[in-house]
Amino acid sequence: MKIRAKFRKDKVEVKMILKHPMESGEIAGRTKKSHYITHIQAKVNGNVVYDVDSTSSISKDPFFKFYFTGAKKGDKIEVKWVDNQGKSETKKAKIK
Amino acid sequence: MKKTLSRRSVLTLGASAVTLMAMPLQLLAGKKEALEQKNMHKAIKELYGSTSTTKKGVKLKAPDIAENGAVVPITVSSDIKGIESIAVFIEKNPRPLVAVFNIKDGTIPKFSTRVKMGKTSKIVVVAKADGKLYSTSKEVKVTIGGCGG
Repeated sequence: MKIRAKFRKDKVEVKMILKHPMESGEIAGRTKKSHYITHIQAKVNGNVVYDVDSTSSISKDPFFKFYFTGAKKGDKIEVKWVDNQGKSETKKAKIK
Repeated sequence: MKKTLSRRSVLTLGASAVTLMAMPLQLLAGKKEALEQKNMHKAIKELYGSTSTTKKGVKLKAPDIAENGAVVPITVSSDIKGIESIAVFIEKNPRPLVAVFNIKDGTIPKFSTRVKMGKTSKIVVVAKADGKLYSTSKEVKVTIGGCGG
């Protein structure tokens, strides 16, 4: 997972790329086990600032960009994703 | 016009107060069903309980032609006040519901991501604010499908 959080004027811009196959399991001619991220959440200082329910229609190695207010430079953003097989990953990044 | 509006908002307020207790469970169930739903209109109905939307207040930025359906960049945004969530649907994908962006305090309703498109289809964005639904849509042509076609 790569997270880049930048403070700009009055808001924080976050760009992130999660590493995940996002397999829908609907490949023509063969079946594959579906494996995709179902929920992504970002927190800053304990407050949820970004909350997404996702499906396999999101591209492989998903990219997300979002904005939020209520944080300052130096605060830490914590991103967590969970997939349909119960795996998860959490990562922290500093707001620059 | 003014009278009907205020009456409606009062009704919604009453209804929401009544259903408040049962809501978390219901919401979760509706979302799960919506994610599995294969028909877009049914998916919208499962998620938001209605399919009648006002076509304003929501913006969708997507390419006219996507060369590679596996990676289609989209940006959705809205300027509606009190917005609760934005959902993205791709009409002709096996499961039309792509993502639901739940808006919390501090979240600015402007999101970018990359989506998969099986074939040429309409992308529909539905936003919910104050019990009402707003939407917009755009047709995107796909030259190479991205859902394992």
